[in-house]
Amino acid sequence: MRNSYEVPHVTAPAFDTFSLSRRMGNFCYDIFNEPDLVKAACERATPDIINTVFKSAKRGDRVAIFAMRSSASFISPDMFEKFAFPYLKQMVLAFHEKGITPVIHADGKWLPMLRYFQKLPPKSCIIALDDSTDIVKAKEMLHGHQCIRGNLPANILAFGTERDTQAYCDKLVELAMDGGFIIGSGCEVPLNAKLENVRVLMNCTK
Amino acid sequence: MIVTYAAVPAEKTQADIFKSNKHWLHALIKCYEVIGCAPDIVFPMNPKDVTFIEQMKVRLPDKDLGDNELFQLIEEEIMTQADYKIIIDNGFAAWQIPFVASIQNPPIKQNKLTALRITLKFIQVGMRVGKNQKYWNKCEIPMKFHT
Repeated sequence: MRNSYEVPHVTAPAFDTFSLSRRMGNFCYDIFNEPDLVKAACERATPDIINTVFKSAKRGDRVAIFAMRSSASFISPDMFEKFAFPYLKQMVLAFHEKGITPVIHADGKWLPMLRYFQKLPPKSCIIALDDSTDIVKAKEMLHGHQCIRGNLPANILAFGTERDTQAYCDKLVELAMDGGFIIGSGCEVPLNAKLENVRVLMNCTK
Repeated sequence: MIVTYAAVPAEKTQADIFKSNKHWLHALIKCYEVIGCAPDIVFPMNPKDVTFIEQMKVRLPDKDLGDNELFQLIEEEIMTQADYKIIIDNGFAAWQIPFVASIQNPPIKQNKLTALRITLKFIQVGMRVGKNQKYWNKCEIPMKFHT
């Protein structure tokens, strides 16, 4: 039964919460010095995190999962496989099973991690990438598996010309033509974005 | 995705859009008017609530920063190694409440009412997302996530 109050469907994997709250350096020491402790805490926390969303989510809803610290900008693929992916996978599977679509906010370098998403049920999540990940290679790897979203770079929005923006958007439109792709900015549109470039992005599919 | 950028085309400061959900939503609507194009999908949470759910210490415009500066997340050790054991023994939710209270700006006092106050804050964030959701639903524009 759903609760009668609203809770925003925004969450983060335990791995990412610990990485941010411990600080990156300390957390890396924890992974090397106390791997079982970190894994046990992730294991204990993950069902609680999932259940918080289940309190108010219903079939057809989307839930945002902020998982930037699980990227290769911070950890190795080996660390991802052992410490981050098992619990991220648990979250994606739990939401997917209930008809809730996870949107993984995946800032940072994700290319070395994307092969793991091929192992998830097809079309079980949306992966929102910024420009640290090569979107062409990401599309090649995940086409037919997962939907990806991205990734007009912040530097083009801020410092590029309309022509630069249009050229990048044309590339994104090309990638989107056979589905499983959402065109958007890489992460948020930056405060110093040129309005004319934002207009090009917003109108590029018309 | 547009959250804080909404202030720029709407000719508001970051401090303005941090005042309330209403201020931010008005700025976001104005932003799309100035761009001259409706969004395909919207991020339905105002930036002040984003700083609450980030679960990190934060510096805010108008309070700790200049009026038109972007909010900043502060990475420091706010969870100790001993906290892993607390989570394993008591669960994530039991750990999260005092943790969230301690990182607020200013911190929320730890007493019998702490859990209630933090839970209420989460519900209020959910209600504000719900209000924004209702607005965009009327415009038939989907949300990145729901409440």
